Amino acid sequence: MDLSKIPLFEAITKHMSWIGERQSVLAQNIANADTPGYTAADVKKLSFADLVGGTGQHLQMTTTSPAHVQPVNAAGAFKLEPQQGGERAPNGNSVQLEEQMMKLSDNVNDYALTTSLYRQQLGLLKMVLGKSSGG
Amino acid sequence: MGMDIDKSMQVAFAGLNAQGTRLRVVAENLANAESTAQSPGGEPYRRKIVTFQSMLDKQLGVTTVKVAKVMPGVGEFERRFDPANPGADAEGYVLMPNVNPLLELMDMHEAQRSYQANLNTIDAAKSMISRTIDLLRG
Repeated sequence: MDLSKIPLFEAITKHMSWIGERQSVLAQNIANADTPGYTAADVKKLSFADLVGGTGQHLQMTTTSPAHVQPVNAAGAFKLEPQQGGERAPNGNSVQLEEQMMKLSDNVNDYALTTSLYRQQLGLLKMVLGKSSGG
Repeated sequence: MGMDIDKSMQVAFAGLNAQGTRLRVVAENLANAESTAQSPGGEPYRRKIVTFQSMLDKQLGVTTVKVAKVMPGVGEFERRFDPANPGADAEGYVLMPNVNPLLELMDMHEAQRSYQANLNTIDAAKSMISRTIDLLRG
C-alpha cells in the first residue's frame, strides 16, 4: 500500500520535508551568525494550495543519462526568502541568534505535531484494518 | 527529509569548528599577553584575529561557515619602562604585545554564545530524528 497516495498523508509528508528544509536553512543562519555581510534567510511558508495541489501536476524534466543536470529549482523545491529589513550588526550580518533560536524551537514543535498527526492517521487506518492501534 | 536534517547537523558542526578555532585564537592571545621580544628592536607578540566566511558546500548544497583567515591584529604596542628586560631599548623601554584582555574576554564570550547556538541546532535535529524513528513504533 502506498501511503503517499492518500491525500492527507501526502500533505503531511510534504509538510515534514518543508520542516526539514527549514531546519537546514536555520542551521545555516546560526552557523553564519558571525560571518560578515551574511543575510539571514527563511523558507517561504507553505500555503494551503501548496499542500493540496500535490506534486503530480508539475512537469518534471526527464534525465536519460547520469551526466544530465537536474534544474536547480526542481518541482517540489521550497522557496527561500532572504530576511527583509531588520537590524544589522556593524559587520553587515543580519542574523539575530534569539530570533533564530525561537524559529528553531518552533520548527521542532511543528515537527512533533506533524509526526503525531501521522501516527494518529496510521492508527485510524490500522483500526479499520482490524489491528489494535497500539496507542 | 531525513537528508535535510542531516544537512543541518553538518552545517552546525561546521559552525562548531569555526567557533572552536576562534576560541583557540583567543586563548593564544591571552596566553601571550606578556610575551615581549627577546632582543632590543624585536617585535613583541602581535594579537591575532579570526575572520569568518560563508562557503557553499557543493556536495551538501548548503552554505556552511569556515575560518577565512587568522590575521594579525592592528594596534599600537604599548611602551613600558623595564630596563632589566632583555628586549628593552637604549632608553630602557620595552614594547608590550597589543593584547587587550577586555577585548579578548568579550570575543571569548561571543564565541561561547555562538558555539552554544550551534549545539542547540544539533539538539533540535537529534530530537527530530528520534521523532521520525518513533513513527516506526506505530
